[in-house]
Amino acid sequence: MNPSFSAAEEAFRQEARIWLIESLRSVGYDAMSWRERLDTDFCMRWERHMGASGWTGLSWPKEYGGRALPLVQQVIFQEEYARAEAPILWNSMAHGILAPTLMYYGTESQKKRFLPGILSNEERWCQGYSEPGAGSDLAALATRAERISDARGDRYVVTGQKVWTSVAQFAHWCFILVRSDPKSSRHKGISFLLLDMKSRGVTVRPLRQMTGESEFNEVFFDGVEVPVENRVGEEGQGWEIAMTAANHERGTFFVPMLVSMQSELRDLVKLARTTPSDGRPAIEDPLIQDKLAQLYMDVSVMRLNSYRTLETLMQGRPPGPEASFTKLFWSEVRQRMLELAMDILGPQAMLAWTDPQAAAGGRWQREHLWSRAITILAATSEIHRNIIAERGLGMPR
Amino acid sequence: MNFEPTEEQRLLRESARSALVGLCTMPVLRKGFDDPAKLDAFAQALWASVAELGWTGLVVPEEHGGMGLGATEFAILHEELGRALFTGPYTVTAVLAAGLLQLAGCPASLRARLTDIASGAMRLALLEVQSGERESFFATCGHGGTVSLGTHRVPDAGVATHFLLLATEQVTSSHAGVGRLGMCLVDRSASGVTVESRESFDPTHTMGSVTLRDAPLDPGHFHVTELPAAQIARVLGDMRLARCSEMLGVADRALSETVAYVKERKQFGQPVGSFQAVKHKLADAYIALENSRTAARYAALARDAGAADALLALDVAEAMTSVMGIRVTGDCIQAHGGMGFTWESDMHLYFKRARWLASTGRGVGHARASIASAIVEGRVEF
Ligand SMILES: Cc1cc2nc3c(=O)[nH]c(=O)nc-3n(C[C@H](O)[C@H](O)[C@H](O)COP(=O)(O)OP(=O)(O)OC[C@H]3O[C@@H](n4cnc5c(N)ncnc54)[C@H](O)[C@@H]3O)c2cc1C
Repeated sequence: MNPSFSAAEEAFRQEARIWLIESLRSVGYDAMSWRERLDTDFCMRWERHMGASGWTGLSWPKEYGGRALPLVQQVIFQEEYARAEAPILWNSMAHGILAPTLMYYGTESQKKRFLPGILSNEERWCQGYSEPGAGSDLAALATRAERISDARGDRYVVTGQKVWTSVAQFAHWCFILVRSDPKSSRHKGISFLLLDMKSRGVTVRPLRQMTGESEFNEVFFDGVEVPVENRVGEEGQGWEIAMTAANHERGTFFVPMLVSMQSELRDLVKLARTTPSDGRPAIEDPLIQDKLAQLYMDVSVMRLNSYRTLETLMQGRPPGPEASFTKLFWSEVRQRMLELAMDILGPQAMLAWTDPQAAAGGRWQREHLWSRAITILAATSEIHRNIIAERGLGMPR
Repeated sequence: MNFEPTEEQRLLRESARSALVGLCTMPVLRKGFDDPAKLDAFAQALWASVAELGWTGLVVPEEHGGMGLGATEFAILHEELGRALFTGPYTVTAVLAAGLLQLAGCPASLRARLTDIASGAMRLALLEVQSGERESFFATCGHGGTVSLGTHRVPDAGVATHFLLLATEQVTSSHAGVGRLGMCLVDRSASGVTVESRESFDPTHTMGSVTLRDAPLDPGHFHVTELPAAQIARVLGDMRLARCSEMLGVADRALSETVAYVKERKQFGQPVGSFQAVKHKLADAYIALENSRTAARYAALARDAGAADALLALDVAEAMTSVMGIRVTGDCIQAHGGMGFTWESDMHLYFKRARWLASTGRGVGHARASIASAIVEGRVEF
């Protein structure tokens, strides 16, 4: 049973599906291997194509070039996007976090300057929050921004270091949290700046991750100048802005991941049917069957939960700890799912994902390794359990 | 699909909750713990009260004096029954028997008893006929006469006015096959029926040993038939769904009482609820509970909509809910420390009811195997 959508919603789904199928076909997606589909240049080209074709900014108001679609249609698009197994979106932090923040806190000229570049994906963004000394405890951040006013203008001079900064090596801009009041501590005295990555004094050093790839980076700021007009909100309002933005990030952000997980489970069942174990298909192993049953339960309930949350949002009621709940459950189930993939592969899992002979182009080994990141990024599982206990159950801090 | 209850469903929940707060209280239940006769007497009085509220006729069609409601409603009511640790054979009578008597081909003489179910005059306890006795039982259900059955452990036997004897089996083996169903109703006071009181694991239910030796069957109160297996599974499934929902209520109450406790109880100068090990345990309990709630709600919606995946959804709900209920109520004991291990605390009552509920069904293994075979046979959609 599926939730019922109105005729208009179904028509929209059809439109989105057709556009996705045709555009992906026109770039030769069907013929591409799983590995080719990961290619950074390809993904970024595709992202710009989406912008140029009017399939970005679905939630944005019309005045900023968006389509002002209701929540259900945004979700439908995300479902279709995931179902089509369309490319990874590298600029997703700009769309998920920055754009809603600018629309709420930004000045008119900031909106005019930055929103079009996000909409078209001509300008890519990275998120500069975490530092060597500030991870889970983000309020400990120490990157300084000194305010200087002289004949050359009113500006901040940023000095310090960010770390784990995803896609910084491809980003034109960085939205960054800095300590603008040197005497402040914790949540006070933090500001939210928009920093041009081409500025003098910015050094990006890619970090090698456990998959062998480099997606995140160290970013060093050595006296980087940021004009005051690139501060979002008031000086010292940075913490509040970042927390509001986190709610956007956690809102509908996981819908596509839930949908992809369904396709991933479907592919996993296929893998179990086709991978021999002791001369018989792995799916005949009762232990593997039972683990598949558990994953089916988890993935179904996750999808149903997302509809349940959507109903809450559509009724205009404030979401509870669903966002933490969803992220936590999703990440832990996905880790289990990819562990099972490795079990099914048996001795074949001993090849690195990058080896040309790796099964399925190395997909399962790579995703399995990547799945270790998802319980850490966007707040660790431990932090989410704290949030659920404190905000969901009202337990003392 | 509507996870949110409708206005009527919300009212049903609210009125059930407030009624039960007055009708089924811990002090009264506790009075029956050392004296099953007292608990049975209380269960009978409670039955009369809930019959007045119309609950015994919840799924009985209106022409038989009931309310004609569906799975979504009995699921909601069962959550509230679970919260209150309701005692008595409600699920067997008002869900299982009421469903069986509405199955296609049920003789009019049997179906007429729906009126007695709705009015509250009939309370049924269940004897499931096991494989060794099944063949002769099916024969008896065909021609009547007398029935004999070896000793069965029967929850709430002491409260029952009648026993529901039930056997089902698969006739053809495929998933979409045919099933056989035999049933009869035996008056508790009929000759040849002996009921012996036993001690119950769950102190909020009584337990009896029931033996039938040449007990005469009333004319028109026995029945054997062959039906599509899915129809039989659906009626039996209603009882499973009701148990899942009851489990949600039990766990929900245990968890909310536990959260209240850990906010109050202080050690090392602070509420124990501020310790992360306690927080994370209860956060996980909350996740398990909410997931089960989603799964059970969907199973009810799918059942009422006649959706193709209704039985699969029920397997998911059952497998999830059983494990959840036992784990959550166990963790609630843990979070109470020594207090949780006392007889005085209510935590063991939730824990025991959760185990009791999990043990009434075919078990988690069965549900998981059924999900696995749906995957293996390609009957699931992703
Ligand atoms: C792949 C990847 C991409 C990322 N991308 C970005 C990005 O683009 N921009 C960005 O700003 N950041 C990014 N991050 C950083 C991410 O947000 C941090 O790694 C995360 O917040 C955890 O901080 P930490 O690494 O310093 O770990 P720590 O905070 O040092 O945590 C270490 C361990 O201690 C536990 N712990 C810490 N505090 C508590 C507590 N209060 N209670 C219980 N346990 C606790 C943690 O759960 C963890 O297990 C990325 C991380 C990864 C892995």
